[in-house]
Amino acid sequence: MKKWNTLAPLTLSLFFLYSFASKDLGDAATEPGDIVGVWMPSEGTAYVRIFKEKGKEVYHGKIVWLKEPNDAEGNPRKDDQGNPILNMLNLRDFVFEDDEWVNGTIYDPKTGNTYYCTIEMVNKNKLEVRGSLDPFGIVGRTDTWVRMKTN
Amino acid sequence: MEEEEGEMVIDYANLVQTEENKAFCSSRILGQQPMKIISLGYDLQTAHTLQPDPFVPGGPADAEQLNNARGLRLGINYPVYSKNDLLVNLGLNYAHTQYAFETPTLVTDNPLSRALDNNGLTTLGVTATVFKPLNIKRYFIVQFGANLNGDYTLNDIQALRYTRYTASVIYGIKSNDRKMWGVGATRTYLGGALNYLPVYYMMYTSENKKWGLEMVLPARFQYRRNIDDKNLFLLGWEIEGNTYRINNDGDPYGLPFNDLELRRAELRVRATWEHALTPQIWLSAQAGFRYNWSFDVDRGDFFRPFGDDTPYLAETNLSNPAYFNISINWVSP
Repeated sequence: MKKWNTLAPLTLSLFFLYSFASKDLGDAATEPGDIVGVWMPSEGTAYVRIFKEKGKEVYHGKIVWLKEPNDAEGNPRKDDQGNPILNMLNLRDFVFEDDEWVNGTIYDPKTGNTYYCTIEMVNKNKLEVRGSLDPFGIVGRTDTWVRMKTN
Repeated sequence: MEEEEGEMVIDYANLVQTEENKAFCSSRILGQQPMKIISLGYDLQTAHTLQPDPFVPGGPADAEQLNNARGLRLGINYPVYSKNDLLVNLGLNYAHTQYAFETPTLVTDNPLSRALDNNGLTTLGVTATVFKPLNIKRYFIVQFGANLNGDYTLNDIQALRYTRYTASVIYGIKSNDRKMWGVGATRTYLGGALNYLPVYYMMYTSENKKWGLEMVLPARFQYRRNIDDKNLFLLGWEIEGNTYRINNDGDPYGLPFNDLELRRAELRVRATWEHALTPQIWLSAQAGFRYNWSFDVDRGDFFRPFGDDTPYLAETNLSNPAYFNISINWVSP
């Protein structure tokens, strides 16, 4: 009993210290709107602006910048179906559930393939975007996207 | 589609990253044939002849007529970890070849003929493949394989001490989205026996995306014609090889040793049609000729480089038939 009395203040202090530190170091709850903004996939050749659809709790993403916007002939880059890549809606129909944006799809204009997609926020400036062949994300690939800000 | 906040006016060209995000090259190029995650196939060699040497002086060495050699092939190549900075695939492969003799063999026949007639040849193995990009252009590929090869059945599987190990390392450069290449070395049983070989790896798609080349030399070379989104035509060759333990436990072949290794290696020159039934389910139909390189028997498994003149225990003449292979595949496009 005496030992407990001695350790109790130390334990309580550590608990409060941990609570304070974890809150301060980015353990704050993720909000649905945190995903809104301009993001750069790891390849660094495009920016995607993620936005909320008006009047709905649904998020989409649009390719808003290309490192090389034109092809070798000087024409705007297009996918294999002939659709312009700039301003293309390549992320569609994400809803926020359990700290993730789920039930969406991602379109890869390079290959012309559409994949199931889930987005997880690592921190306020970093996303893990997983495209997959199956709706459960079992067979897929995860890419890291970082937030872009004004200089 | 109307946005909640309205269209924002942003000078995208002047944005900066909030965090570093190192770019890495991906493991595939545009136009490449889809990666087979699960493949279930059937392989059929048409009629041919087998002429084995005797295993002991004066032993049986009758020529045999084979109506066919056929069997199931299953391959699984699953990406267990797939991020932009590391890709790890684990695989499982199973292949069985049953040899259909025109006349069933007798206990007085050649041991190789009897072994093939009894259980055929089976391979069961696992692979691990790691693709490690170093940056946007450079990468490593490391692959390990462990296989059980022999005349065993799945009901009476071969002992693990006869596992044969293979490994490859490739260092490569991805020049652009349509070309990647690399060089390396491999520990392989491609020629039937253990060998160490240099490797040249290249994946290429032309600028108009109509054709390409896919090669891992010396094992495989393919010219690819991208007909449309649902059809690919491939023309090329593949070398298939392994060493197979012929089990003499209990001395069924009346031989004074139990360390027989069948050194099988063959060149398959073939045309392949790959067709998308759905975006993720592809049918693969292949036809070609199977040229025998080695179907000879050694005592024990040992390093046998090209040009090695160590005599075989018994050499085999195997004629060269046409072959067909059809498979259904779950792919990653």
